Amino acid sequence: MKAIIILFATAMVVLFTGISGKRTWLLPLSVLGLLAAFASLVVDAQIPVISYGGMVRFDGFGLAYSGLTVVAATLIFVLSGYFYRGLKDTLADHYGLLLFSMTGALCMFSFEHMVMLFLGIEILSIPLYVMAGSRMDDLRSSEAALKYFLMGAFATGILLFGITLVYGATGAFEITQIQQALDVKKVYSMPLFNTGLLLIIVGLSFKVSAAPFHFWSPDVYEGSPTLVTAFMATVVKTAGFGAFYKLFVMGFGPETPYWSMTIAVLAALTMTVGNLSALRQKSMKRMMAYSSISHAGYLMMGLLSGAAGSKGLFLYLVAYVMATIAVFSVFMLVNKDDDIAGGHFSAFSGIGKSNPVAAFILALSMLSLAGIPITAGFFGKFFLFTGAFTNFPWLVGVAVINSAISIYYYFRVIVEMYFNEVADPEKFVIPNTYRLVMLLAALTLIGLAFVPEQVLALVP
Amino acid sequence: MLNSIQVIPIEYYLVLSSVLFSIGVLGVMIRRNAIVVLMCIELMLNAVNLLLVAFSTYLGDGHGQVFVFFIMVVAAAEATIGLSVLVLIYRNTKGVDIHQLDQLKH
Repeated sequence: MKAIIILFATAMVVLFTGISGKRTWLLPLSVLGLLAAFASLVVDAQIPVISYGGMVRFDGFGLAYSGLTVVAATLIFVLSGYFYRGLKDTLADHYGLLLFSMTGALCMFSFEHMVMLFLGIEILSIPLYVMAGSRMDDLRSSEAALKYFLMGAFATGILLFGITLVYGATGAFEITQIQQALDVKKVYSMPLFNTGLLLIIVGLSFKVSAAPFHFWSPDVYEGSPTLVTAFMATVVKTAGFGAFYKLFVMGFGPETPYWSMTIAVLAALTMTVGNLSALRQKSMKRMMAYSSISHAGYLMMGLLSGAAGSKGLFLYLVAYVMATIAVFSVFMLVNKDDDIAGGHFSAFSGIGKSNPVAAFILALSMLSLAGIPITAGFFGKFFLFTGAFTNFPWLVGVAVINSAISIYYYFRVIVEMYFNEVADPEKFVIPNTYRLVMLLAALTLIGLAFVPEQVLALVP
Repeated sequence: MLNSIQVIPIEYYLVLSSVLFSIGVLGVMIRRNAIVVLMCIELMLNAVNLLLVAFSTYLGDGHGQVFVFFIMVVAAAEATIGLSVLVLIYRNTKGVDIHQLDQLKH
């Protein structure tokens, strides 16, 4: 709760600092606010804080997931200093919008009432519609913004219709009262309730870009400025799955898995479509977009392992978020001017020789995303797959086959970096901020192998 | 005691809202003009509002009507963002046809 207020206040302060023209203060102020929000989350740990008449509840689940998004956002802000080096007047707006978006993400982990879920999703999304189109001289950026906006608003409409039908069936918006209605009135046999549930699944699937509602995400990821893409791929994905888990497993109940077959089919479809499309991509950003779709498929398996699923989901998200941030930090260095046409795989040729550090970090992240043992990604996959195995063995089979397919396109980047000889590979400078982020990401990706139990213990 | 809304059975509201919502969904899918698409999204949200108010009255529970206010506020904020993105695109292409926007993935 305090974290939401701190983030909102930071965003306001940043906007006013921008008006007074102190450009160099903006980044330290934003990072300070994010760190303060993280500190307040740590202070609140283990105590469920209930506020606003029970509409917001920060428990162990909310705190852990909020902590992860705040860390991810902090790393992205650290990267932004160099990324926005050419930006003069509008820097405060960029930072302010990203911070406002963060408050929405925190609402999505702590909602107890459908209004908070809806507002959280909107507060997360609306600033990002603007951020997707923030490169105003580039039509492709505006195109990304329009596609993101139309699909986002469309998904919100579907989600709201679902919430309304569930309200009609249960007579409540509070998660606890919906649970009561499920137990007492057995509403899960009502067509009204089931239609509502299906529409909510569709609405949220749009937000986390699960197939067959994923078609917007490659275009939006490609057209947005890379820093915003990194934010979407990490913070928005985490927020979407936090809300998905909280609503379905903690809200609609793990004991009566009347919705689990739908999610299982969607998960299988999502990972297959994501992986098969990623195989054909030539641009790094589009490849990462399809890879994030396939990861959404794996993450959906976390919803199918009952109350223990939040642990596996969290571990997987930590691995995925850190690897994605590392990939995009290297990508921002390789593609210095953030040219949309310049994100081809060939841009990475030979950097294994010219920039061994960056190449190593990128290779490590690719191994983690592919789920190769002893990287964090392997442990994430291991816990997710074992969790879902009891109820959906066939889904685990599909997921394992998909992981094998994904190795092909992740390794293509590694092959390009180390084995593709080019005459004179460009040697780029790595700013110290990028070194810091890469070091932290690499430490997490390797270190998680030694402390998976401690990370799992963060989530109740 | 029946109030004036409750004279009509709830099923009628359900059908009307579903029809309005479906028109909105169809419009988003088939119309080319981005402003019309935006209007169709508003239609979807208004179908939701109507149904929320109807349910709220039939259940005798005020929460649904408060929710409607939140939806209206958010819809206004969304329209603001959507129209400003459209202005941005109009400056570049002199049109708001969403099928012209195929610069990405080429």
